[in-house]
Order: sequence, then C-alpha cells, then structure tokens
Amino acid sequence: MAVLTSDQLTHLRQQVASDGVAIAYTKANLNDAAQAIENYFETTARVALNTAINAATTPVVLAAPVKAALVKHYLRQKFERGG
Amino acid sequence: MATHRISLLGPGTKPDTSGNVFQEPASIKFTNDVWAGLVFIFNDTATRIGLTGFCEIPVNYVGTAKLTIIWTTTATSGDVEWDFDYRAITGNDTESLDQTGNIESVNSNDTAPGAANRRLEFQINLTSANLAANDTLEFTLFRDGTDAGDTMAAAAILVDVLLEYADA
Repeated sequence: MAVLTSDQLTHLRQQVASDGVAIAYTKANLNDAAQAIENYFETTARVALNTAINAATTPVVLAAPVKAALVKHYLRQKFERGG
Repeated sequence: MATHRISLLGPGTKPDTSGNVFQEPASIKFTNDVWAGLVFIFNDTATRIGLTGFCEIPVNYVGTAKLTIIWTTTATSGDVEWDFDYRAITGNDTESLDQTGNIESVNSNDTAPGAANRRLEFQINLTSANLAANDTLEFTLFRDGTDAGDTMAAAAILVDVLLEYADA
C-alpha cells in the first residue's frame, strides 16, 4: 500500500473527467476514493488475484509480468469495452 | 454613463507551458456536438496554471472596472479559484511593456454550475484607477490549483474573459 502522490491523484482525476462521466464530487472526494482503491488493491486484491490465477493454472505458474498484463487488459476489457 | 464590455482574448493570448491550459473545440467536452467554437481548457491540477495576453483599454474608459469570466464545466460540484494578475502600461515612449510584477492581483472562487455546461458569469472588481483610456493591459488569468478553494474535480472551460467598465 502506498500513499498516492499529488501528481498521481491529479492524473487519475483528469482521466476520470476525460471519460465524460458526470462529476458531482470534489477533488477531495475523488482523492479519497482513489486512495481507497490503492489500499484495497495492495492489501487484498493483489494477493487474492495471484492466488486465484495460480490455482487456475496449476501446476503451471505464470510469470508475474504475464499475470500483471492479463489483469491490466482484463480491466480494460471490463470497463472500456463493456465486457 | 453606460456600461460596456470588451473581450481580453485575442490572437496574442497564450497559454502557459504547463500543458494543462490549451485551446480545443467546445464540442470535445460538450455532448451535442453542435457548437464547436474554440474554448480554453484549464485542467484540474494541483498547480497554478494560466493564460496570458495583451489588450487595449478603450478610449471611452472612465472607471468601474470589473473582470468578467464566462466559463462552464462538465462538473456539478466544487469551486474554481480564479486569479487575475495585471499591469496597465500608459503613454508614448514613456513606460516599458517589459516590467516585472503586476500592479494588482485579485482572486476569488466560483462554484460549478447546477447542471453540466451551464453558462457561468463570474465577476471580480478591479481597482479602476489602475486603468486609463488607451492603456495597454497586460494580464494573466490563472486557475489556482494550489489554493484550498479550488475543489472542482474537472476541467474549467473558459469561453471568454471580459473587461466591464463605465464610460462618461
């Protein structure tokens, strides 16, 4: 878990705004939400995903960069292509 | 005595080098893609970003100077902190256009509209005596993301910057 920097938070807010979604919230609201996502990902989701992928592919263990790429592209498909 | 308004924006208007102030067609952030004139975008940042330029003060200027910012946004919550620094240069072969600092810096924050893309008209009073007819006004309009009052989590869409004033 890391504390997101001001630059990281700004970039995330700009990306959210550029998606054209209605933003009835302040910078502080979005910053808090982004930090919560970071905290959850690092403390819970990262380990759980790793465990789930390893269980699915056993006895093969995919390399970490491959798993990271799969997760990245899965999330893009899920949220950008309506998958 | 009548009230007039002139635009401060023109061919000499220039964004800073941050990359977070730039021109784009309004249709990029609007949804109906009908009115696509160029607007200036001030991104949501944690820094002070600006737009600078020159303008001539009209020959019939007397006073009651007000800066009028015409803007909008896709957000419906939060405030934008607008800062305006300026200097007025007078005379013929008497005063340099290349001076440091400003004659006045004013600032105030305006709240996002109740619905996305509604026209907002925001005024800040200027010290009228700082300006005179036929002066050259040098100015920079900032969105101050370092200010605690700048809470809006979206880009500000600047349509125009006007000088409102009274004649004789």
